Order: sequence, then C-alpha cells, then structure tokens
Amino acid sequence: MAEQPGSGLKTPQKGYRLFQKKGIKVFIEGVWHNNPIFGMMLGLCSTLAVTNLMANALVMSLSVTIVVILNSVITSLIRGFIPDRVRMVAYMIIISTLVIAVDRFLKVLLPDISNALGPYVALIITNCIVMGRAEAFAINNSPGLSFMDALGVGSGYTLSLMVIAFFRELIGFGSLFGVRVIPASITPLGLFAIPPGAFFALGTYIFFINLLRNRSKKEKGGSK
Amino acid sequence: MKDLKMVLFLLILSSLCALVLGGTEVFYEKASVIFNQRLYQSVLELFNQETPIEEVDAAFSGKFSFDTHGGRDYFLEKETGVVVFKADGPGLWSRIEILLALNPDFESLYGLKVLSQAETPGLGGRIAEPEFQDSFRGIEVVPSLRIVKFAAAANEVDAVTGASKTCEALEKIINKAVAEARQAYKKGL
Amino acid sequence: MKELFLLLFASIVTSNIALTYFLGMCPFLAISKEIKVAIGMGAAVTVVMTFTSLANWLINNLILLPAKLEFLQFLIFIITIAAMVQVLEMFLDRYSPALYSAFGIFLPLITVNCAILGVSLFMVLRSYSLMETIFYSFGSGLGWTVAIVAIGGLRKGLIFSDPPKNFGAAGITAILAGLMALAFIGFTGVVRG
Repeated sequence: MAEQPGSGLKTPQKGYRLFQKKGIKVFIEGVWHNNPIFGMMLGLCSTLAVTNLMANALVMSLSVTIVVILNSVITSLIRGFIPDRVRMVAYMIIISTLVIAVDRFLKVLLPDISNALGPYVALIITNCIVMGRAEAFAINNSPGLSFMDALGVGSGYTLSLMVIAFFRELIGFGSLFGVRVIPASITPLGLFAIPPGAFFALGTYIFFINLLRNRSKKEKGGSK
Repeated sequence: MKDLKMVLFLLILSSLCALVLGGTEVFYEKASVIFNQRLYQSVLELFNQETPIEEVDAAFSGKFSFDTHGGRDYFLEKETGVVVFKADGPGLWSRIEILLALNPDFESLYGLKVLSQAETPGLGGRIAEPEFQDSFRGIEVVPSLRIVKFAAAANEVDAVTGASKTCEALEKIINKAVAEARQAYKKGL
Repeated sequence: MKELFLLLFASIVTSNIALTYFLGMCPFLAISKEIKVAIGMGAAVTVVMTFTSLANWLINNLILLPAKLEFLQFLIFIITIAAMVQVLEMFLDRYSPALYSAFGIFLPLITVNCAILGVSLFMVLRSYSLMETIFYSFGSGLGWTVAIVAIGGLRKGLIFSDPPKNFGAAGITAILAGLMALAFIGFTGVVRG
C-alpha cells in the first residue's frame, strides 16, 4: 500500500488501487443492496422453480451468473458501438446466444440436471436480472467494473437461491444435495417440495432478510 | 444514415452470434458421440452385461444389428431376436426417456430401463429404481400395458405409490412406442 | 375433443402457469391493485401468448425441425414474441389509447414475461400438436389472468389486516400466492387423464 512519490509508476498504481476499491464496492452492492431476490425482486420465476433441490439451485444460479457476467462484459466492451434505439434488441440477441450455448453445454456435461431444470435454463433469456444489469450498469461503465457488478449480482443470486434451496430440500425431502441427512423415520414436510412450498419459502426468506436489514438500520443509529 | 448504422450493427451482431451458435453446435455434435456410447452401455446393461465405456462399441456391434423405421433406431439382438429401442415423452415435471426391449413375438416385454427422468424425488423419481424396472420383465403389451394400483393380469404392473401422474405418463410412453414398433414390423395388424 | 377441453381446464387450474410453474411473476408484485388494469393486462398477455405460441409452433414444426435447426428455437421464439408485442402496442395505440396509457411501461415488458416464452418452450417439450398448442396457450393465458386478478383482489383486501411489517409487499404476496397455489392443488383429482 506504499505510495511512490514522484515516480512515473504512481498513476497506474493508484488507478489500479482505485479500481480495486471501486470494484469491491460495486461487488458488495451487487450482493446485498442490488440482490436480485430481496433487493430488486427480479428473476423470481426461476427462484421458485429450481430451489426444490440444492443441486438444481446450484447449477441454475451458476448458469445465470455466467450469462450475466458474459453479457455485461460484452455489452460494456461494445457499448460505444450500440446505436441507442436498438439497445434492447441487441441485448436480446446477445443473451439468447449465450443462453443457447450454456443450455447446450449443460445438456452434454450434466444431462440429468439439464432435464430437471427443463425450460428454466432457456428462460434465463427473459430473466430480468441479465438485461437489467446490462441496461443499468454495463452500458455506461467499463468492462472491469461491469464484471464486478455482474459477479456481485450473480453471487447474491446464488447465495439467495442456495439458502432457500437448503431449507426446502432439508424440510421437504430430508436431504442435502441428494444425501439423506434426516433419518428416514421422520417424514419430511412434503409441503416444501411442491410449488406452494416455494412461495412460502420465498416469503419467509424475504421476511428474515428484511428483519436483518431493519435491525442493522436501527443499530446504525436512530430512525429510518 | 442513422438507420443504416442500426441495420449494419444488427447484421454484424447477428452474424457473430450465428457463428458462435454454429461453433456450439459443432461442439455438441462431437460430444454427442458419448451419448451413443452411454446408450449402448444401457442396452447392454438391460441384457445383464456390464461393460466399461471403452469396450462398449465393440461389444455392442457384436451382439446387435441395426435397423431403422420411421425415424427410430431399432437394435435387434442377434441370438434371441429381441428388439430394443428408445422411447421418450413428457412426464409430470420432465422428459422421461426409456429403453424398451420387446420379445420377438412383439407381445411381451423382455425388459425396460429408465434412461433419464427428473420427476419428484422419492415419488415419481422412484420409477428409476431397479425393482420397479424389473417388474416389467415378461409383461404382456397386448392389448396394452397398464400400470395400476394392484396388478393382477399378465399385462399389468404395480404402480409407484404416490406417483400416479408419473406412472400414467410412463404408461402412455410405453404403449405409444410399442404400437409404433408393432406397426414398423407389421406384427398383429 | 374432450381431451382438448381437459387440457384447457388443466392449464387454468391444476397446471396454472403462474401458480404451478412460477412463470410471469414480476408483474405479480408490480401490477397495481386495480382489478381493471389486471384484467386488461391478463387479456393482453393471453392474446400475445396464444398468437405467439401458434406462430412458434408453425415455425418450429414447418421450418426448424425439418431443417435440423432446433438450436435456434429460443432465439426465434423470443423474436416472435418481441414482434407480436410491438404489433399489439401499435394496435392499442391506434384503437384504444386509454388502455395504452394505462399499461404504460408494462406493455413492452410483456416481451420479457417468462410466461409467454415459457408456454412456447413447454409446447416444444411436450410435443403438442397444433390444436393442443392453441388450447394450452389460451388456457395458460386465462390461468395467468385468473391468478393475477385474484392476487390483486387479495392484496386489496390486505388493508383490513395487519401482517408483520418485515414481510413487505413482496413477502406477503408470496405467502398469498402460496396459499392460492395450495388451494388450486385441490382441483387435481378433477382432471382424470
């Protein structure tokens, strides 16, 4: 962290440290403040569908993270060339291509999980998170920062999904990642394995997150 | 001028994406070779021959001859004349893919193997269990195969408890594929 | 024929695209509590859903499959949807400016409504025929409308109760949707395949 006064190396070094700080700030914002699930309420469709099992949630959230990172970086790289009026169309073309590629890869590498996820991988195309980050951030920022933003949002998404899936699989099936952890004598609460359970799990998750946020707000001193 | 720039941009972007997609497809085709190997391995397993993936191609072509009807591949076991083929269809939550083996009389099953499914774990997912699949051996398919609560007749199989929708879907897939096979080999029509 | 109507019934009730397959959720939370707007939105979605599914079926079965171009499905589908929404926008702007302004931003957002793309994807996954596609997509549109109108009505009724604040609008809507989904499951036995 030592400065090098008067040295020609000062500017790029300082610039790099500035980038690091700003990058990390952007990342953390993506995970917490801009969290797709409880911060922005985006990408809920897939959340509800794939959180029944942790394996599904993991593959889905990693797929989304990869797509949003690639899309944000690509958008940022060509942001000087995109004519303003066809922004949305451009996003759609890029995102569709990325999703098709990811879907094909999954079919080959993880065929059973790909079958389990069904159409939900393809539905990443309509997942507001991906387009949202491109429009809100990548189109106006450098590729480096766009990467950090996308990484943050993707990580936040992954975190939320894994937490919800953890509870849904544990309570609904008595297992974690397919490994039975609750003794067979205790019947799992099947409610959480079926669609209504997804809604309840999501609602409860939002409840606890808001509880955390409001408590930390109070501790930060006084009202609001 | 602005319009021209828009069109040009979209054309270039689309072309680049088409290239990427083309590349992905090439990769997919190459990787699909392993799909066939896995399929052959499953067929051999149905005949109680556990074969490591490297030896699958040789073992398979030694034991089976190929045939095609109506877009579907049929594998004919050389010694016994058992006809093996793939079938798939919609389940409750996923696509169910199975391997069906018909006895040479086309009136009963030699066996059945579930290749791929993503039904509810612990319920519909239990169709992947060996005991369930074994219960299909020797079951008659005329007039049609039925998966019911308490199997009694020669063409009936016990369903999985709590998985009625999945079993219904499976029944449909089996009967449709068997009908197509019988049609292809003109048996009993 | 009976099969088709069963499919229609099932797609509204037991396989509701919103409550069973979780598609088209974003407007759930964002749509105003005005029932009229919800119905209008549902109608727009149903129209787009039915016509795009039809168009996509035709393109898929007449062009993509024979030419072995299945991998372009997603891309083509989303383009059809975007085009159809554009047409709808122009139509509304011309013939019903009141509805057009009531929708506001939500009209172009229909394009990214997962339910519409989802219906086309399920149509492919389940290998539906042309007739099945029409009944299924129309039914799904109706089902989605039912779900969103019901949720809107329920949220309106919330002013008489006092849920814990930490749920927020989103949390309590999720719980409401869950209860509704649970209720709809009760219909499962009615549709005996």
